[in-house]
Amino acid sequence: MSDRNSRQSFLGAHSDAQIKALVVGIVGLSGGGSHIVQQLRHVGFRRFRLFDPELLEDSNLNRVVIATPGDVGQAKAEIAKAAILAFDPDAEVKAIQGRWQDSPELLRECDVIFGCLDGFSERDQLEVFCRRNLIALIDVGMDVHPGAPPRITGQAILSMPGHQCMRCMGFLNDNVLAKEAAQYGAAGINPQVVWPNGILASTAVGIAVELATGWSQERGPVYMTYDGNRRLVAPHYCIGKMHPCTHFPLREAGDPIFAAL
Amino acid sequence: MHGSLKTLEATVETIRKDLARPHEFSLERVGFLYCRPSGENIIGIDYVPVPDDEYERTDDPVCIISAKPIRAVMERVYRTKEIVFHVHCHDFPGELELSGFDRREIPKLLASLSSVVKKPHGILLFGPGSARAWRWEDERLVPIDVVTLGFPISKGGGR
Repeated sequence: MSDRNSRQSFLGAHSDAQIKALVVGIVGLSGGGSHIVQQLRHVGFRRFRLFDPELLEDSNLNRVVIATPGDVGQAKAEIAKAAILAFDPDAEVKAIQGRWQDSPELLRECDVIFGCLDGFSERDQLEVFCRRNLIALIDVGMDVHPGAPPRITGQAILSMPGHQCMRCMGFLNDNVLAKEAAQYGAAGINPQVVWPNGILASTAVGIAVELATGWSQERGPVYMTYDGNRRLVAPHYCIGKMHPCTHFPLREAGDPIFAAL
Repeated sequence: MHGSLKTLEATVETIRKDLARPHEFSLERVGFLYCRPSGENIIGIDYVPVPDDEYERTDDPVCIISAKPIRAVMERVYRTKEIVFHVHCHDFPGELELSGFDRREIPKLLASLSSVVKKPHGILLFGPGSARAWRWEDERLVPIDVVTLGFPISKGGGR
């Protein structure tokens, strides 16, 4: 146990090595992803695969906690890479300014992927990828619903191969995907603020540390919901009531194989 | 070392439970883990034990199985184009390593499998709380990481 991590020795005698060994992917490096980058480097994660196609805009500065005004115009992936290396120059960081779908080999190297994505369709695609390649997925997201007052909601979900998926949890279904597809191109500005991002990212990092070390001995899928108006994070009522997952049979994992019938 | 053999915790539990069952006369049990490629990695999807009556008696302290389960493996691999790992367990303390018999005999099976379907077939060896794997590449056994997806995720041979 290094001196730097002595205050987290309760995670286990081998926790330093366990945390260092995992390759973590972060898909989306704005509000949620930037908090996750920041916390993972402090916990001691050292192997990162970062994906975001966008450049930092001035309107991102209200929540991208690793950026400064001087970073506007820079690639978010490169800003995240620099933030990690400034803290840990020996970290292994591969940053892609592009779509994760275009770099599947790099994403396949991951043991855990944080999905910090807007929209259900892309979440669905990322979960399919993770299930196919036996990778743990931690989905993080928040939303602000119009009303008087507006309502802030969010979620942190662990979709673990062999356990229930986001469809089993009711978070993804054909209705929300169809509704999103019907609104394609008309979504407008998606409201985002820094503090729910931080709360949900912290919850997600806690899940990743559990996956790396097993310190709390909690097992199984996780679906934490966030009520930003009541400042409440709580397990979704579906946890403990779900049937085994039938959406992603293990026999369908891996690359397609072409065999004669 | 490149690529990993990835399995679910539930698959590992199934394998360990099967291999730990005492046999009437065989000192060890054997099974086959059918796998699919995932880029550079290999994913274990289906474990099939060797039936009790397919072990053969021998005076040597080794495990011999009949030709029937091997034929079944070859037929399945020919049909499905899957990758297959020979699975057994050395349930005693000390460094987890293949025996001389393993290194001499199992590669013959892997070479035969490769002639049926040219894929990186291999060996998965369990020990007390650990596991190691090798894949058959260029006529030799190449060690690969074993990753078990569970709580926690085990990398590099634990569990």
